Amino acid sequence: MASEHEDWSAWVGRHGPALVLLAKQYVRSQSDAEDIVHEAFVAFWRSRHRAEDRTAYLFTCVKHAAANWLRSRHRRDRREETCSRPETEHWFASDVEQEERQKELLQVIAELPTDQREVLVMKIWGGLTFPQIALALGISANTAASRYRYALDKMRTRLTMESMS
Amino acid sequence: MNDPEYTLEAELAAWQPGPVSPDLWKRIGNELSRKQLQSHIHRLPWFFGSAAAAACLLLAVLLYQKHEEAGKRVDASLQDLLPTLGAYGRALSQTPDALDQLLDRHAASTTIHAGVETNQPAFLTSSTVLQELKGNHP
Repeated sequence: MASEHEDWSAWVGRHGPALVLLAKQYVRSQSDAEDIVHEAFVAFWRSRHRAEDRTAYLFTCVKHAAANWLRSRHRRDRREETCSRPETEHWFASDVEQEERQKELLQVIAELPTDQREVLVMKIWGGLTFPQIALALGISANTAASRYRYALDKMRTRLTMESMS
Repeated sequence: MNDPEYTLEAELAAWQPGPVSPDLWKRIGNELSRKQLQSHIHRLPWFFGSAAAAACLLLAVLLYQKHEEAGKRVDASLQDLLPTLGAYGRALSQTPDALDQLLDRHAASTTIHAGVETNQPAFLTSSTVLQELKGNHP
């Protein structure tokens, strides 16, 4: 059992970037994503002792917080307003010359279904294993692995098509 | 290495999400500090309530004990005060001397109150029963 004085900042430092990225799969703007991560992390920190796998549970909290956020009527208006704005914020830290490639990748990722995108983010940037992803999303490890493979297949196909055109 | 899936995976992994903004750090830190403070504050009434309840319980136990002791003293003195068969029986069950002392006390008490007329009989049983109790069978 972790002590009460366990360092929360270590958790934010280790998982924060991936959590914000995951939140961005559900909402468009950076500030909304940070709102979700803020709520999710506070909820996680209070109930983390009950979790079987804390890292997986942290990602579950983000998904739940995002679902609550999307359900909230008050925020729905803001969401609609945000969706109408063009997406200008970047997902990744990158150099100027890499921005073109990043845009291309982001475009392809954005076209993936949400359930595949969340698996992709958890696996690649969250560093979760398939069993952890399965735990976080409430699916089987096989389903998590399938979604991941489908996502990469679709991306590869799409990128190949773009490079040919 | 030439597996295209691996290449794409490696390329994606090479892109690192931007760090958490200082604002988010600050918000989480403030919220957790506030929650921690709130939990301490929420525990205070429980702490004081428990302490008060414990104090009340202790007081009740002490008062009860004191009351019991006083009651026993009053009972004992009252039981021996009147010249009843029960009082003599108890005295006799202790020692024969105790019965004599009790009889002496009652005799002295009767002497003191000799000037006061009363309808209460001095003894609540006949002398025959008393003799039986003492073991002096006729």
